[in-house]
Amino acid sequence: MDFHSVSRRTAAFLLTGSLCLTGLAGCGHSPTSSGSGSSSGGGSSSAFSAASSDISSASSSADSSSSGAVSTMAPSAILPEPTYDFTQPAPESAPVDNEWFADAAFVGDSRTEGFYLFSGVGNGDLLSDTGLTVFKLSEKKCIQIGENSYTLLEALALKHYTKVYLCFGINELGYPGSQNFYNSYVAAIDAVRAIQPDAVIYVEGLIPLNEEVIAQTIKRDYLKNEQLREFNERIREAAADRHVVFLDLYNLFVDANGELPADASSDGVHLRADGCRKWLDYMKTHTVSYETLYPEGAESIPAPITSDSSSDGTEGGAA
Amino acid sequence: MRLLHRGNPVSFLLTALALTLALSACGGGGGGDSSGDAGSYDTSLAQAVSDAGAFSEQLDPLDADTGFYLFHLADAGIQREELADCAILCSSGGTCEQVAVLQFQWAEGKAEERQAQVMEALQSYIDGQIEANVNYRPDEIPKLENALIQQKGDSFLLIVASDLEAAKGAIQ
Repeated sequence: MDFHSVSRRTAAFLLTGSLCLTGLAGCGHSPTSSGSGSSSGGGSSSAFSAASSDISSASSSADSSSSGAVSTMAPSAILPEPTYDFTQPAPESAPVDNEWFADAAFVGDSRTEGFYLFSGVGNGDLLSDTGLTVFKLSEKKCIQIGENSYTLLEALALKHYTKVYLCFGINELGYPGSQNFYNSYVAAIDAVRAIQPDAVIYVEGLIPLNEEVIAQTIKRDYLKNEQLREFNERIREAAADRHVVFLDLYNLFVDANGELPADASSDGVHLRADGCRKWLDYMKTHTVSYETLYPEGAESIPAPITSDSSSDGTEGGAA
Repeated sequence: MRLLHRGNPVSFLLTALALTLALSACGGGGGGDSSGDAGSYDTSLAQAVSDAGAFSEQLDPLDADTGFYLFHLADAGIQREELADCAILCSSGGTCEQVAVLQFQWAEGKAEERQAQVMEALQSYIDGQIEANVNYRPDEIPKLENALIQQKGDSFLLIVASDLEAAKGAIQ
């Protein structure tokens, strides 16, 4: 193992601990959090408590308020003015071929798994878990490689990637409010960036649902497009705040009624194969280089956010 | 039938042999027999199982490379070029339903070892699906627990169906 990979693993460990602390704070130390999540995810708190002092020092470069507010970040005034507009979805670009994704990681839930299997991308690595939420990235040992089990973040640290696609949010729709989701998503972006500092991070907006098909099939009444749209705004906000690329998949698939077309999915959630191919075509025509995003290199990337607000991580979900 | 070889002389000879057999089958007037020769499952069986109403939804096809990945065959010690042909229909996420017919070609003397490896990989795949879905899609667990995994010579059949009897009818 070379020094580079050791450093990357160390960063992964620290950020993993940071993510866990985000969750722990929500389980008992954050009375000013939005209060929207349950506190059932505290079962593994002792396993990570030893890392808390390391995390505190590692994140000292960020403005870590102890007020219990949702999150803080390094002052943006010290950053060069970005030339790429992070508040907008990725603009259309010249198409790339599938081999462009050879050093990409596709990180997400079962929707990402469907994309990887049915789009025909044929390149890159799939790091996904059915039902996984952004709240659980640093906890759930969901990736099996040989005899070993890894969290998704640990698995992400095993190779070097230049593109990382994040797709989370459907399984989180069962939790009221969106502030915890935002906080956890931002923490996930920072963790991924620490593990893969050379990668362009793409965050994928949520593909709409078909509520009628859901009612007829999987019958999960918490899967509503109204909340999905709110979560999409928070994902877009996170992308703008953390200077990563936002992919507007919602508008790629939504119909005139604000839904996923009924024939696009057998359960109202997961796309059929032709939808996955459409998803890939979009990704192939919405790419951005690292140099375009960060012309002055790593100095133009915001420092990691520290957060003491709640996360939540009960099991369940739809993707 | 898609045949693969990557410069390995043994693989090339096996490929040539398989091609000869395939051509002779195509010219032998055996059309319409979806069961293939008596010693293996024909890839057309996947569609036949689907047509028999074994599934609760329309399944989508997967190619051989994706199938090789999906069933973790590399982890089981199988080489990609040993998967000579396949037909896979799979739910894109709504259910766990699927049918896969996998046909292999082994180097001489490897058949017994490789067959055991494939069977273990397919069983491990089903076990993993059960673990992944037990909280997430509990309605799918009975289908997975009743999954059909069968071997005939160097071919393998895997079925996760909502109507397993319909699937068995198609096989017979």
